[in-house]
Amino acid sequence: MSADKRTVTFELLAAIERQAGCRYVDVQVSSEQNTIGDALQVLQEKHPLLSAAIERCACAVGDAIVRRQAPLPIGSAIVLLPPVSGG
Amino acid sequence: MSDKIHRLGEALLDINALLAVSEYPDCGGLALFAGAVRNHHEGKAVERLIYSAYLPVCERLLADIEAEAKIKFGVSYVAVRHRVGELAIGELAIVCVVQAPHRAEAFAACRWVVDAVKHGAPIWKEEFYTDGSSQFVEGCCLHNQDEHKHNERSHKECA
Repeated sequence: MSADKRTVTFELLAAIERQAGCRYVDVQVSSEQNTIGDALQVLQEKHPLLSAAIERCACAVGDAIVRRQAPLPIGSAIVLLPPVSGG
Repeated sequence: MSDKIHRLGEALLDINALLAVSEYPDCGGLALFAGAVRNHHEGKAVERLIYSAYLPVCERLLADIEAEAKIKFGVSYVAVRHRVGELAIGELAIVCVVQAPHRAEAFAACRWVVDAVKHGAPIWKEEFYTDGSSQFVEGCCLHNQDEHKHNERSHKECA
């Protein structure tokens, strides 16, 4: 891993956690990949079988839902929220 | 979240504990919705289910929905609660109580709150069937709402 790469951690919940078989997935992003959307694309390339499910997920950081265009968080995981079915 | 109320939890939902009739003497209308676990889904016999939630967003969102309903419908009291964990058939998954001066706004607010929770809260239902299989129920895509918040299309998709 080169010096300009950094690690982004995804936390997978519910159906996508079940599909992936794990709760946390790390990816390496370059210095040009600065947004949530950029990191999602890296995750999709690393795990193509999850790609369609990732597309349907919203993302959260802490207690906020964040858009694809939002900057990558520092020190927090990006939480993947698959389609919801409460009530 | 701005208060210390836990709106999600594993304990059985207690409807009586959510009623606040004596606290709002100006309210002549009380609307209540309670959603229970059904024993069937798309032709399959359901044995039990597990609700999970992303609590950091969910707790804040339910508090925001209560507050928004009060303003949007001019109602005095709104309380919504949702179970998480394992639920048996017939147990309550969601309860919403609204108190208002008159019934029309109480009914309207109650329906709006339940819809808002169903369509917007990061809660997932995993159903376990009597044949031994299980699945997460595919519901509303929050990603679409993120880009087109609460639009008509996303509500239809979730109906």
